[in-house]
Amino acid sequence: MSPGDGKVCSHTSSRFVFLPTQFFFCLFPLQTETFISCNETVNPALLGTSGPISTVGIKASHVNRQYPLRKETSALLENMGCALNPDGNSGSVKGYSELVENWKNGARQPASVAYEVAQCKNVTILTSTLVHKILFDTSNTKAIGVQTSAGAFYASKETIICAGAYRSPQLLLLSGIGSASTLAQRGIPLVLDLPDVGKNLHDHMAVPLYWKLKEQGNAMDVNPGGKLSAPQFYFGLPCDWIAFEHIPAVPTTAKSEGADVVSVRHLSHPERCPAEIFFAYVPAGPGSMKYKQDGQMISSMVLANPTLWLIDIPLMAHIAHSHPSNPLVLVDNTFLSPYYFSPLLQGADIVMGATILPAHHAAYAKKL
Amino acid sequence: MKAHGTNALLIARALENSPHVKEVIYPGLASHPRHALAYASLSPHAKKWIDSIPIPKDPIDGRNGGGGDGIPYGGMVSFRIKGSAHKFLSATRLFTLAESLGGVESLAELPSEMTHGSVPEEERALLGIGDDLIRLSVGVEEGEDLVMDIEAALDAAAASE
Repeated sequence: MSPGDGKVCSHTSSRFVFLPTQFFFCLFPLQTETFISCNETVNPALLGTSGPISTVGIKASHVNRQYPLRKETSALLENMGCALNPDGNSGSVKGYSELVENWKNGARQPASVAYEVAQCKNVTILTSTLVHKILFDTSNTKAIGVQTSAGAFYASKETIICAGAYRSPQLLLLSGIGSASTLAQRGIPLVLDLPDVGKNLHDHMAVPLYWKLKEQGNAMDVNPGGKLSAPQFYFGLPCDWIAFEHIPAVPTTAKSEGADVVSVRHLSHPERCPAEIFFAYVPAGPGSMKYKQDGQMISSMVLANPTLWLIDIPLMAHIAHSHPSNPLVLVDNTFLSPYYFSPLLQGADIVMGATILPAHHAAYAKKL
Repeated sequence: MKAHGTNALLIARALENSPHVKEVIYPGLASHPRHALAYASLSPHAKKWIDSIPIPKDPIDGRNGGGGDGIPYGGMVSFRIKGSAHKFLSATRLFTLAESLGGVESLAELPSEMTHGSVPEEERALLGIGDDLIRLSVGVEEGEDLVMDIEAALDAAAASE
């Protein structure tokens, strides 16, 4: 790294990470072990235990993080021919495993947050800085820095590309690392002929489906235990298992793209693109909002019977109508009558008033 | 509806001043924790009326309501009695023992044994429905008569202890 340019600080490390799309930053000495393991299903030897990013499984994350259909969904997956994979992070995702997440204190941990990059004095972050290509030494055998829209930056020891599944291979190709014929076609000078660059995308499709359960206490609803702050919903995705099933290698074509030959496209590659299956206990994902959570109507008296506690109807209506499920608010105005209180003017959707019974209760009077 | 409210306010004040009462619940009383909400959320026509009237003086202790001592707010009043609720309910002459409410005649009931008798005892305890809680539905009779009836019944309930 050139210490004189003022944009990237000099520091003792010789490792840098470049993010070529919107910004890049250099990172303080990388931890040799990135993950903290605190789950029996995770292989500590594989992930390490001393890094700042913690990963944890559902059961180990909180003693009360339990979901009511754990056994049932496990049996369902087994019946589908999906076997238990004790550690989904061991190298193969095939089968079903307990979900392991990198959440901490109720939030996901992006690497930049976990490594406290923003607080790190020896790191400079450049935003809106496009990385054009990796720079190599004269022998084309060693990366020495990157060319960016803000100029060239040089690393004294290592250059690390960290640009995501799509952009990292793109940057390698733009830098001359990839299939020689593809690069020649695009007029990019060849640095290294590596035909597989950009051809091994691993992807996992997810299609959300929704069920409303007969026993509503088994999902998140408005019952007293169904608060979003409960451990079931606060510590991560509310689900037990995550399963991966390989999709059958059905030949797909893209005639709309002008393909003449029906072929298996690598985006549906059976080994690399499994379908991801999990059961979440809340509606989530695109389209979920049209599936209302339980509690489609909130009803209340204005004055509670018989303790006459005055309910804050304006506040209740405000909260109800701010919620995504937008429940109707029904107000029983019997105790105050329309003379003293107008529920519709205070935000209620429906008003009811009870017909009063004749004032007789002779039987009880005799008992007294 | 105006008479229900003004009478209920008189009753609530009388109960508040009685040594035989633990607690009065009437959001129209200035001492009620949600009195401000009650006033702020009044219907527009009720607010216009309440702002225009001198709040009637308490006929018993002569205090001037003047707005600072509460507002008419419907005819329902609940309170917790120190003495025997059964004796109180037997002693009233104008308040009829009945589960109903909202009519022109004044009614009284014991929720723990009547309207809410089917609620399990533990739930009643959680809801604050004790054996001492009496619910009144104040009618449109002469307010002074109603206050005297309540006070006489309170005395009777206290004397029976």
